[in-house]
Amino acid sequence: MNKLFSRGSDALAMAAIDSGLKFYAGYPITPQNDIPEFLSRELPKVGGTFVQAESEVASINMLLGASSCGFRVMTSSSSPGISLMQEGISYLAGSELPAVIVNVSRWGPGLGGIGASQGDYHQATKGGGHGDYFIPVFAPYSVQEMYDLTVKAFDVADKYRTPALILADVMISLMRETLIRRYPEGIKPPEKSWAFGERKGERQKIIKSLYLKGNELEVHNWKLHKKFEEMKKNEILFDKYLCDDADIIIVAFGMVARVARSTIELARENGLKLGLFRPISLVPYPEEELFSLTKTCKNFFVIEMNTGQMLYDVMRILGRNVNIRFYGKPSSYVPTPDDLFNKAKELFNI
Amino acid sequence: MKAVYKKPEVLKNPCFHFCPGCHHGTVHKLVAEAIDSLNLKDSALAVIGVGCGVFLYDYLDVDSLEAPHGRGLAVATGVKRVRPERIVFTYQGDGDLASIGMAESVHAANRGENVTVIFVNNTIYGMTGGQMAPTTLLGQVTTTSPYGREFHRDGYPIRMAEMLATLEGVALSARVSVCTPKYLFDAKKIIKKAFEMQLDNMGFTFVEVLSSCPTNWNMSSMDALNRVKEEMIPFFPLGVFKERKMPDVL
Amino acid sequence: MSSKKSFYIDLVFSGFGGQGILIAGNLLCYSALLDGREVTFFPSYGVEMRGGAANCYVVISDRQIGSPIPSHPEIGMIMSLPALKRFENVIRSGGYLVINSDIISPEEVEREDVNKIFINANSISKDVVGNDRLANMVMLGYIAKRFSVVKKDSLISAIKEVVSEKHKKMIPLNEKAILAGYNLKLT
Repeated sequence: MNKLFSRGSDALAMAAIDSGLKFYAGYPITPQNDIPEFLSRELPKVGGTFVQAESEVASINMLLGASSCGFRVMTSSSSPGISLMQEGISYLAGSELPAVIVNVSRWGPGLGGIGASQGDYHQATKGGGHGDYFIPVFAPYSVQEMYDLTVKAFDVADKYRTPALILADVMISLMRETLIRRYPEGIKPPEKSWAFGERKGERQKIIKSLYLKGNELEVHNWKLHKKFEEMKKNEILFDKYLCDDADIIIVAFGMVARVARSTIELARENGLKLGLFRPISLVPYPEEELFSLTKTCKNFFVIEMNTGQMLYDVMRILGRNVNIRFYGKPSSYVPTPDDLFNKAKELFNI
Repeated sequence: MKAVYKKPEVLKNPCFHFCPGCHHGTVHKLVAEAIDSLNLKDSALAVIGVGCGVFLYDYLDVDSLEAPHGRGLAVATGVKRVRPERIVFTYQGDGDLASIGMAESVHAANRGENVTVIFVNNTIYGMTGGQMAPTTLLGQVTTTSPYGREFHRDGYPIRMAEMLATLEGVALSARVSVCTPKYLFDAKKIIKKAFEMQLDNMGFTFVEVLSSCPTNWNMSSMDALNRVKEEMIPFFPLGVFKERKMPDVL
Repeated sequence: MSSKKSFYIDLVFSGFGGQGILIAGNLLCYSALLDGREVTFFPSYGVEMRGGAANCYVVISDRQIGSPIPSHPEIGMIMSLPALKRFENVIRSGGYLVINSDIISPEEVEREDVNKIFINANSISKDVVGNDRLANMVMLGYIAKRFSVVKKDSLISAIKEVVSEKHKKMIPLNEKAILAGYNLKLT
């Protein structure tokens, strides 16, 4: 039976294996250790390589090496570790090397805390590493999406030769629910003629991110930008729930969106028409899809487990002619459906 | 007529960008000769650190991957683990390998990664303009140690070859120089041996090459050559500090 | 939109680590899956590795489940005094506190607007399997029947999903303890 009762982290790791993961490197950090523990056990069974690296800095650079050889590679970490990886992510982007990076995010700044958090939205979506680049970012809100978006991330990473990030959270990573393992027989990764394989007298291959001659750097950066424009056309993912007749639309991602689903049902039982707009791809952001909701709704309620980060994107996209309210919860305690319902009533004076 | 000398095939027709008297060009050639003599042109894969050696791919006709500063041996680990049939070597300077990349270097050595390291030690940061390196000698004047390196403030120069020789995962750890013809021939032999040992799956092979940097040392090429002999070798003795005769087996 | 006819139940299981709190929660989930329902399971986690509090939320429905952490669960299975203190006020008004009275004395419960059910689960476990370590299964068996959460057959069939290979010989004992709870008539 392909229908399983699975933990989010296991679903993600299983999807990586089903996607043809060849190489994983990582360093222990709470709360994502379930992923390397699963892969250290399962990856060698399918001919893959698991390395516990000496640091997140080493992990991401091991990925750079293995990816250059044309294989599917992944690492996972949690916020402080992702900060350490930013240098390598920038190099992967500059060298046009595919890789999947998973952030089961926790609290910061600094050591912060180990609880559920969305404090890394800016870091995930606005770069994080140095230089002029974007990488695709996906935010799962169910165990099924931990699986499906991992498959998607590998696909997009290869298609655009870019690192891709999964911005997960503790709630979705720890919870268990039904999972349909869509590709138990495995997915065959694409052939990569640009990668280091057997040379057999062919021309020398060079994979690099240093461009010092003439205007080659400018050409390179416009090339990266063009890929991002293509992603905007092809890779946007979002979810709408009861938006058509909504008086207020909640805008949330990841675990908060999951809780908000219950809030919407609760509100509708109480005669208040709430809806939910959920970006699944945080980069590229479903801008047009969000903006089109202003045709029928003027009230938007942004909820995040931080002090307001995606809020800036929503404000930029929706402009000043709609009513935007925000509720932020920079704590490890995930708000309940009641909490969000009460906040909606308070902030919209209902 | 019998050929007594031939340019290594893997060495392109380069006009090196290196300064006059710099040893990088010589070290490049030694690596090229080793690759040629072992017929590794197709299988060699260079992981290139950040420093004056960063343009190695312009001079050597081998597949090349550029690593972030200091991360060469993490990158090489990733390559070798998924392409064990490729002969992987890193080419790194002292700032790259022994300062910013110390953790990656030591741990790759300790894991016994089956890769070869060409470590060019010229006691200074060349590319960035002559700053103090972890290998800068005591008393040496650099742009960031204008009064000379002083151990209370700056610590001591690091002897990488000796340090790595203490690790179980290391198969070969040696220090060579190219400052006299005899030393040059020794260096050539050791570099070739390092690649041979990788071919035999012996584990981590490390060759430290003492090198000159006349420009940043503010010296003539000849004086720089003498400095290697008279100041560097006494502190960084030449020799093989560890050589494993058998590969690690289960 | 949820309709009145649709099935929905939410529970919290709480006690000390080692009491089998998470196993009880998981077992209920697997049973509900066998019944063909949607299920979510959410465990608490902390920095302590052993001996601390153990809690989990279980939501069972025949529709897609939103939050795996309910605002106010209907049923609480309470196996320790700290668990009571933490969740007594979380249970919804009119809900149920199912309390192991071998561990918590009834006077400790303060709330008046919830139903209180006391089960001397340790004693029952001792009677039926010879030790008190399956008190969790006694409690779970009772809850399954009392609130019609899952079918009896599903509950029994699901035991093998949560008992590890190493403890396979414990399956019949678990079954006994569950049935003791399932058939329990409280006066």
